[in-house]
Amino acid sequence: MSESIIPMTTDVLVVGSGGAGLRAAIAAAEAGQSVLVMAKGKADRSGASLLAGANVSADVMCDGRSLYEMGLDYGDKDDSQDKWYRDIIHEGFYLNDRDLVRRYVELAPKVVRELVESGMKLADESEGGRQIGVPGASILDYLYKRAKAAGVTFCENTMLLDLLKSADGVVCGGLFLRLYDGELVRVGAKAVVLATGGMHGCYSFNSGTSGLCGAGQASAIRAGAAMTQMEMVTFCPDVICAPAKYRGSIIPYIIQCFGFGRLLNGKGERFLHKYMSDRAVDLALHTEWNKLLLCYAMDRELNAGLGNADGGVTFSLNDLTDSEWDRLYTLLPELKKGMYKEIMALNEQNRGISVYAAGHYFDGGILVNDKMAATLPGLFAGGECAGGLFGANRVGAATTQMLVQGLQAGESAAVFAAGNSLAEPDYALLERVTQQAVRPFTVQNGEDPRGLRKAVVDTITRSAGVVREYRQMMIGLDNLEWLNNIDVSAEGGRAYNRPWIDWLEARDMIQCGKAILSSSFRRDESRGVFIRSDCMFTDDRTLTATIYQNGRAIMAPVEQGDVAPDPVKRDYFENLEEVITRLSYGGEV
Amino acid sequence: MTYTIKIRRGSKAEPFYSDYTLEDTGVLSVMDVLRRIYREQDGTLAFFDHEACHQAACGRCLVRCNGKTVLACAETAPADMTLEPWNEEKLVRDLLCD
Repeated sequence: MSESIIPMTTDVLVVGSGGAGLRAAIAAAEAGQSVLVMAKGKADRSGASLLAGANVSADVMCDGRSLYEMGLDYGDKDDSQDKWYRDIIHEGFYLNDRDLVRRYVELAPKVVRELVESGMKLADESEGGRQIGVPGASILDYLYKRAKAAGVTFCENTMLLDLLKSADGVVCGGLFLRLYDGELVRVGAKAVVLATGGMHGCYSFNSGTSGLCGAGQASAIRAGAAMTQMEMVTFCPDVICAPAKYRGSIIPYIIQCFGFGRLLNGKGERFLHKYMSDRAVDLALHTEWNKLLLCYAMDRELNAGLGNADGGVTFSLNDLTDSEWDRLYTLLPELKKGMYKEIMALNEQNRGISVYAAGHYFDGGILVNDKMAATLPGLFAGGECAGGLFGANRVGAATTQMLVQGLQAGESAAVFAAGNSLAEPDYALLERVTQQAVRPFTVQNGEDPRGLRKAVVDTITRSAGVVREYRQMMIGLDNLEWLNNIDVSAEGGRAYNRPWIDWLEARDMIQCGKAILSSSFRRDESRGVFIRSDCMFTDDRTLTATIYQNGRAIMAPVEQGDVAPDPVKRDYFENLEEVITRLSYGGEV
Repeated sequence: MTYTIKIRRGSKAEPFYSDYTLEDTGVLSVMDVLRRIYREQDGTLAFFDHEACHQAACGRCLVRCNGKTVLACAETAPADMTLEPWNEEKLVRDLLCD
């Protein structure tokens, strides 16, 4: 080995320390395996789980009947797992992997019951009878405590560089960078769980934490794993874009979900009706379908040059009556505290809050089966970095996804670890990925990593946004190929060398961006959150999912079972309204 | 508005100060200022930003701003500021503490 690498071993290696990673670690440790969690940040404060529901009130979903049986009287006792299963598939525009949805609805009561029985404080009100509300931090606190009690070991401030495989192609660990001292660490493991969350960093405007740059997805891609539905990206409409201090906060969206606030363009006018029917506007304002509808309208309004001075639209609470203000503060008392109090003051000063559509949730990801096994032996994935559960549109809760899939991935990894011995890595592969990771220190007069990172993010943001178009996507993919070949130089020592970290993250985002764009090319229609201005129709005559592997995207049929659409091709909005009528809760709009 | 920033750099044993100025018209947090300095002026500046929430939730971006320990993301940047590490014992480099 040309580089000195610190060796570590464990039975099960979990990469990522948000809700999915912690739940996986608990499951594997409680099954008797030694577990090491590699966290990019702090072990109990990494990832987007913390920011779920703006850390005020994250929805954790479960069928209403099960909630009712847990003693929660707001649970809808007439609901059932089957009704919820069907709704998720309608909401996902029929691209959901049915086995994953089945597993999700079956395991949800178990993980939700754990939260309820832990004694954490639940929000007073629950809408729709299918969810509980808790702050993201409470979920993490509960999981972290339980993981520690189960004997899980943690390494903080470590970044995944690449997965390691044996000569037989079994995933047997990972290579990491210890950020604070710049040391490389090789973890040997019998099974690996990827729980690295979303690819938020790919978008210049996003609602995630700064470390979410697709390390798990990119490492899986480089190792040859298959990805699915990477073109499906959910944007959140009411995310603060200015003032800069509050940029990225989804608190206006949370307020809007409670029924408050108006969106106004740069001229102070409402604009939703310009882009959709009254019925769709109603959906946009009063249901959790708001994400895709509002983002579409905002994108078109800015495209027409009608944004405000901050490059967004204005979220206004100016027309609230005194009693509505009282109600808002009663529902969300956190708005009177800390940073949220400052944000509310902006509105009271009549300045309004500038918001825009931010990269928010990644529906696509690593292809897994219902045991959360990826296509490479020894590799498992759960939570947002795994794809296929929500198909073309997530209305269901990502918090439940992280808990259910974390649990399943941890259990499956424990079984795999128990049945296999620790394999030696392919040392040629280890040498190759090591040399690639430290390459910026060997290149003389290369480009500045900060500039490369900015170019990568700008490219993906422009070409893979809310509304896509063939030519833009083609330019974006070409750009990424070109950026992938640019050599950068890193200077100075390796300890917390931020330009080096920038390059490592940019390298991952290039992989993710290529997967998003290559998959987008293959989908010549609009469906759910995937909207192409040059294909404003949904074609239900063939229902296929994109599979991206080894640099190529193909289409594979999605088995429909007993929840299937009519085999017709029709206008995107017409189709959307038709889908809504099929929901068990459709009449409540 | 012109921001004038003095930052304590280096290790506990060998500290030094760097001075920066930057222009901005909006409301910035101390974190926004640090990110702009890193991106536009000084790539060697170290501060906690590799897994930060920017929304006063993760509690990792503590710094001393004009003598007061604050979360860099939650503190509105004053026009004149001296930034120092919040904990000498945990200092990794510059403003970054473990």
